[in-house]
Formats: sequence, C-alpha cells, structure tokens
Amino acid sequence: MINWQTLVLVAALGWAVWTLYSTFRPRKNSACGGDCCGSIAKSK
Amino acid sequence: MISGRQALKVALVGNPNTGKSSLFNILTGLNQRVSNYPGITVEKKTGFCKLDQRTIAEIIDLPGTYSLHPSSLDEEVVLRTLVEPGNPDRPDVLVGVVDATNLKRNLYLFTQALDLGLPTILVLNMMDQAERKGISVDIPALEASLGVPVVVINARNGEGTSLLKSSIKDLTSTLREPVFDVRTDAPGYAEQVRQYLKLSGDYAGWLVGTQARDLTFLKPVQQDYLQQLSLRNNLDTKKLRIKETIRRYQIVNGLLEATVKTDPGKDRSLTGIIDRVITHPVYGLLILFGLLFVIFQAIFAWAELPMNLIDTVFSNLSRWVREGMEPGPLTDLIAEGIIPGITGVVIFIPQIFILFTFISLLEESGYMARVVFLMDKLMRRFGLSGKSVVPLISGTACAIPAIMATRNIENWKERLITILVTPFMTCSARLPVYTVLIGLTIPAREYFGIHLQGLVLMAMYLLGFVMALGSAKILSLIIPNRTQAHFIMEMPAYRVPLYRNVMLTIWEKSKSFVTNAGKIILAISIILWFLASNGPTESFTHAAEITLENHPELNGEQLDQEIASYRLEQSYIGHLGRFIEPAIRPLGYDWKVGIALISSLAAREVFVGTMATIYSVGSDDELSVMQHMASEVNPRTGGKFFNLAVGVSLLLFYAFAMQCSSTFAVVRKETKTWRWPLIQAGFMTGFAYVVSLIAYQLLS
Repeated sequence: MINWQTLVLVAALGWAVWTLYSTFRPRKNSACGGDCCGSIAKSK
Repeated sequence: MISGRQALKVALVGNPNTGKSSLFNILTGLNQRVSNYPGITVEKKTGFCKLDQRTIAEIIDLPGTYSLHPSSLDEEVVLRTLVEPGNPDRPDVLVGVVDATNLKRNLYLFTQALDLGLPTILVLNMMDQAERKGISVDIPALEASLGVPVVVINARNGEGTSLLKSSIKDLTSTLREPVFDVRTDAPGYAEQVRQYLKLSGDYAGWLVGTQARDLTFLKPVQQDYLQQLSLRNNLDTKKLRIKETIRRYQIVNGLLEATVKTDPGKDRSLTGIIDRVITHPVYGLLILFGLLFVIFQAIFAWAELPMNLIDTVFSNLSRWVREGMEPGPLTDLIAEGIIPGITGVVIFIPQIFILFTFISLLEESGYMARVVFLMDKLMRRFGLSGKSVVPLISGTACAIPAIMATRNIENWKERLITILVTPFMTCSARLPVYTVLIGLTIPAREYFGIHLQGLVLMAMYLLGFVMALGSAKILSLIIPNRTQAHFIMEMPAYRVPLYRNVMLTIWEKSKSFVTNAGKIILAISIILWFLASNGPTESFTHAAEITLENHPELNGEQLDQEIASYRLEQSYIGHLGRFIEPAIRPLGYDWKVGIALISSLAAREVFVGTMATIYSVGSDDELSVMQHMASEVNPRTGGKFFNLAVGVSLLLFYAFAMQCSSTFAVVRKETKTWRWPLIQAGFMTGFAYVVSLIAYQLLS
C-alpha cells in the first residue's frame, strides 16, 4: 500500500531529477529567446 | 489586449551611450537595465507604447552602433533589421537618438539611417549637458537642413517624450533628397544590388553591395553574385566605403557649422578634470585597486549580520519541522534535504546584494567605462582586446552571460581567448564556496584594521584575474591570428547613478541567483538526501545494530553520531565518495569532500549545499553547516579536518577547475565545436589538481 508521504517523496525526487536533466541537456538558451547561437566562425 | 499586428513599428537607432535604452524604458515601461557602460545593449528589446487613446506603437530598441558598416554581430543586427527584405522587425518609423554633446559622430549614423528612406525623427538627448559645455543647437535650422522633425528630450527624467509620441503619431512619409548620393562614385551599382535582392531603396543596395562579403545574413550564392557584380562594374567596395565615410563627414561638418554654435569658455564640465586622474596610468590603477579593496572588505563586514540571521532562522525552521511533524521519510526530506538546501542559497544573498550594489554604482556613474580604458593597454599585452574587460568583469558575476557577451569582440582570436579564460574569473558561484572555506580555515584576525579573511577573499579574486591573463598570454602565442581588430570606445560623462536602475540591477542579479542557481542547488540537495538516506547493502539498513555491536561502550549522543556516520559511510553517496577517494587523497580530501566535488560539477556553489546535506544527515542537532564542518576531525591526525592546508588546497581547486557544466555547454555553443570546451576543461581541471596537490603537500 502506497501512502501519501511516499507519493510526495517520489514527486520531489522526480522534480529534482528532471531539473538536473533539463540543466545538462543541450538546448537553446532561453535568456536570449533562442537566438543566441552566433557562430564564432561567422564573425569576421 | 495590445496586439503587435495592429501596432506601428518604431525602431530606436543610435550610437552606444546616447540614452537610447533609457528612452525605451520611459516609452514602454518595461524593465530593462539601463547603463552608460559600453556594449550593454547587445540584444534587441521590444515593448509597447500608447501614442494616444487609439494608436499603439511597438518600440524596438536596436543595439547601439556607430555606423551601418557593422564590425560585430550585434551591429549587423541593426543593418539587417533596416535593409533586409521581409525582415519581421523592419520599422514603419525610425527614431534616431543622438547625444547632443557629440553631434558629429552621432549624425554620421543618423544620416546613414535617414538615407534608407524610412519616415524618420531625430531625437536630441542630453541637451542639458550640451548647454553646460557651451553647445547651442539651432533646432529649426537643423530640421530644415535634414528635412525631418527634431525633438529635444531628456531621457533621464522623461522631458519631451510626450512631444516625441505625438511626433511619431503624426509623422508622414516625405520625399527627400538623400544626404549621400550613391550614384556619384558607382553609377548604377546600388540600383543593380537593390533589384537583385529586392531591397527597399538604392542606399540599402549600396550598404549591402559594398560590404557583401562581411554580411552573415547573405547566402554564399548571393555573396558570390554581388562580388561578381562589383568586379563587372570594376569597383573596389572597400574604397567605396571609405569614400562614403569621408563625404558623409564633410556633409555633417557643413551641417554643424550652419546649425551648432560652441562656446568653449562656457564648458563647466568636470569630466575632463576628473578623467585626468581617474584614467592616469598610475593614479587610475591605484584608485581602481583601492575601490576593489573597499568592495571586498565590505562584503565580509556588512554581510555578516544578515547572514547570521538567515542561518539562525533556517536552523530553527528545520528543528521546528522535525519536532512538529510526524517522524518519517517526508519529515526527513524537508528537515534534512530541502531546508538545508534552501539555506545554502538564501544565506549568500546579502553578499551578492552588496557586491552588485557596488558594480551597479560603478556602471551607472560612468566609472566602468574608465576601467575598460585603463585596462586596454594591459589587455593588449596579453593578446586580449580592451573590450575583453567587459566579459571578464561580467565573469565575476557569471561566466555564462560573460561568454555570450564576447560576441561584440570583432577579432576571432581575441574573442576565442576571452571565451577560454573568462571561467578563471571569480564568478559569484565561487563566492559561497570561498566564504565557507575562508571562514573555516583562515583566522578571523585583523591587522592594522584590515580583516584578514577579507584580504584572502580579495587575493582569490586577484588570483583568478592573474590566471586569466596568464592563460591569455600563452593562448595568444599558440593560436594563429586571422584578422586585426581596432578598439573604439567612448567615455560617457560622469552621472549621478539613477536609484531605479541600481535597484533593478541588484534585484535582477539576486533573483537570477536564487532562481537559476537555487533551483539546481535544491534539486541536488534532494537527490543527495535520497542517496545519503538509502544504501545498497544490508549494512545500511542495520546500521544501528552493527554500530551497537562494534561500539558497546557508546551511548546517548555519541552513539547517535556514530550511527549517523556509519549510515553515511554505507549509503549510496558514501560508496560514490569512496570510489574517487584514492584520486583526491593526495590533495588532502576525504570521501565527503569527494561527494561535494562530484556534485558541484553542476554548479560550483552546490559544494555548500552538498556539505549542508552531508553534515546534517543523521545528525540530531541543528548546528549550522559551518559549525559541522569546523568540528570535523581528521581520523589520522586527530586535529581539525578543515585545517589551513586543506582549506588552501580546496580554495585553489575551486579557483582553477572548470567545474561548471553550464559554462562547458555555452563554450561549445559559442565555438561550435567540442574541441575548445574539451581543451579548456582538461587544462583547467588538470592545472587545478596539480596546484592543489603542491599546496597541500607544502602546507601539511
């Protein structure tokens, strides 16, 4: 039988793992609206 | 609801430091940082403004630029917005913001913008300062010469903005003769480019045609075609740009002679006098060093009281939760995982608040621009640009925006070196780590009124800076040069910092620390708590029985502590720490420090949160993290574990190691290759290991 304490615990752990995963995974930077991928190779 | 589709698009264009962003703030009411620090407006900002009851304008704050001949990516944004066919941000009305104290250079850009043929308004800002300098402008004559409305505003207090709004609303498109005639030097060329790219006017064709090879928004096939076109017309595009510059300045000079009068005798500006001292190669550096000294002393002295208060409040909260809630895993999670994790974030807000108050005041007052000027000569010696100081100084806050801010460095090599060395600068994430380690291992003594701990903190900041410069020098000798860059900047007049802007900066910095770093710290705290509260073997489950069997002489608090220690050793996290212990033992670290080193790969400040969790897990009292760490005993020596040798070794490790996965990701993104971030991480962490090893072996 799963009690509510275990459920909250699992939710907290799930949130923590997701937060870390979303930090590590490569993605567009939201701080610049996803438009900050200027390539160094492009700048002269 | 305001909709962008119905709104009149208005673009603000101007040189850096003309008050463009301040005007944008007044018009839109949006929160945006305003500063007279060069290069701050690197991103496009938009907002809505009510011109009257029925007319809405969408205001676009374009990056500051000196001309429409871009030499960096952010300057190219301006050209692209104004000339690119079908650009979604192409404005209906152009507002050219100019600094009345520097009309010649400002009008150069304005006349370029004017020749694009869009309905345009000239906004004269800083007229009060111009008048103090003895500059008077004949507004009606200027209006007549340029053929556009001229509106005088004061972007600091909003004077004249109502008139500007009504001028924007009532502006009608009028046909004017261009200031610069593109047909004189290259008959038909601009027109051919315009037709090929379907541009809006001949001057747009001229701008694109004379710098096609440098524009990243053109496709290679378009660049090739335009190059062929210039060859067919027997044109040297570089010479054409030079001719335009010379002719345009001649026109601007004539315009100013007819409309502006200067009385040098009236110049009551103190800026020049102050600058003679502030930018002096010796006195200037002494002043800068003195200011840094005051700032770092203040961080330690002023922040102590609020930090102690926060510590006490959260310790009591944790105790209250454990006493008030039913015992169980959830109570443990809150009292031992979440609350210590949050404490590890909140406790450093007072220091961040103080540091950014100073930084913001320096930026707002105009002093930061002098710092850039002062450092240019020094920077050149190390293969960096004067502009590198901006990312390096920003790196004292966070390497992520700092590395992104390198985009306004034109030279590829200087930009790459700046990216590679910026993580050596002492970011705010290191501050919590340094504070704890310095507080633990450096004696709290004062010599001649100087706080020793504050002095060590300042030394850590300087060490990061020196290391950044040293690495830059080595890199400048290794990396081949591709192009030459020239450093152009201006000295804005000294101004009384605006309270609103200072507070906004502090709020933004503190908020981003709490929301960005805080989230990661909390998540890691929860996972660590789980890993520390569970173990893979039976030994963990039966920790109490095993401890009692092994230590029948213990009871009460001593027994509880021994059980807690045994449980931690047998937990998942204990196994992980033990796994790396052989590698870090020569540096003076044990498996607990090993756990903190692993977890702080996410962000350096996680070290503190990890320590908070490790030392409060299984413990019955609510001593603060610092006290827990201070009471840790080295089982081999019987003395304090966190002694001077371990403290210095850890400080050096955190100063030099590339321990931030976000920095790694942003370097990968900016250099578009894994090569540079891998070299960077390998070098930094390897160097940190060697230096920490030497320091520990010498001091222990």
